[in-house]
Amino acid sequence: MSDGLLPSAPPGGSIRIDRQLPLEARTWGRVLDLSQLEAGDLILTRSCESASDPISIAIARAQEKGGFDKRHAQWTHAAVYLGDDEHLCEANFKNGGYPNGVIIRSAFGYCDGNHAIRARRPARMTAKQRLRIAIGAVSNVGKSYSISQIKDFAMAAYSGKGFWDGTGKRGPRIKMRGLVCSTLYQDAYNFALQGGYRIAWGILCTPAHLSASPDFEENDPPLRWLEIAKT
Amino acid sequence: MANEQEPTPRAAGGESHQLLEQQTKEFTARAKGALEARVQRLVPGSLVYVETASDDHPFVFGLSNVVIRQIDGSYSRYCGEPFGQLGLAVGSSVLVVDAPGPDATLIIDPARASQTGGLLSRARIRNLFKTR
Repeated sequence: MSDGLLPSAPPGGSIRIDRQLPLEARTWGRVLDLSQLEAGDLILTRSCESASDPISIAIARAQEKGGFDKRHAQWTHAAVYLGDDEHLCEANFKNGGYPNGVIIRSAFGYCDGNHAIRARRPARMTAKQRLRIAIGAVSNVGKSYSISQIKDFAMAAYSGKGFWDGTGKRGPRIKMRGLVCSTLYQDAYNFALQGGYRIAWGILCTPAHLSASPDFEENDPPLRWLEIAKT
Repeated sequence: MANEQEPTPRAAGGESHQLLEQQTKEFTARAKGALEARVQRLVPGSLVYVETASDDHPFVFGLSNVVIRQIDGSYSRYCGEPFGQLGLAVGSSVLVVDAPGPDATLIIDPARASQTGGLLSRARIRNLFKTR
């Protein structure tokens, strides 16, 4: 289950779409069936052709070095599903066609035959609380990545030292002071909880933390590919 | 005649004064068991992350659980004031009451919020000795 929906999985049906679609989905000829998902669900993605994505390799390696099993460390990006069968809120940078920072984009942009996708649903939360996760994420739209945060993150990943202090006792080598994809979800989740709690997933929350966390339902909501019917 | 049934500005002011007094009484009592904490990360309009010296796990507070201690010693609920106006920044000193839980409260005292560094440094030094 933690491998998510692979691009090699056969389509579970077909769909006729008359509206505009991201170039990736039009080219590949498939979209994601998100009908089983609900607002506030977590979306994890990873590139399957990792050789073409050195950033993803570095993040995965750093997460593995941080003690995560490969099946969790392989996830390199996180987003919040908004509940309309298509859109996600995510923090991203150097994403062609979009400004750096927190954006709303079509999940079908990941339908390029190269990305694996996984969905997770927060456990012990009402539908209204999960909706607040989506609201919490959207309230950050337009906020940018902190440049120093990107630098810290990249240096920790590329140096081979990883995100965590070697002893594993003194906590992370770097501290999250800005938004990255996984802290966007973390902030939105904490916004939904209200009150004053110990922060879920620690000071340095990565996609691997979200993949491994028991704070989500054990069974992932089902995802499948739909072939775009040719008219 | 209708005016007689509507609260006069004075009466409304009296009610809000009563509420303020009630809040002040409540938070003055609760603040006695407060833990000192430092702001670790601010998400304007949404969240405040803080760390305490006694707990390795930082806390996160929604803004509905934030109160402000005024110069005269009274307490009022946070009402969207810009963090900068309250002197709140990463490293600022704050107080944590009844955490963790839905009724946990973060007390911002603008007079002490500007004090930065001490607790965090002590916590770091303590951790350093713990692991070496």
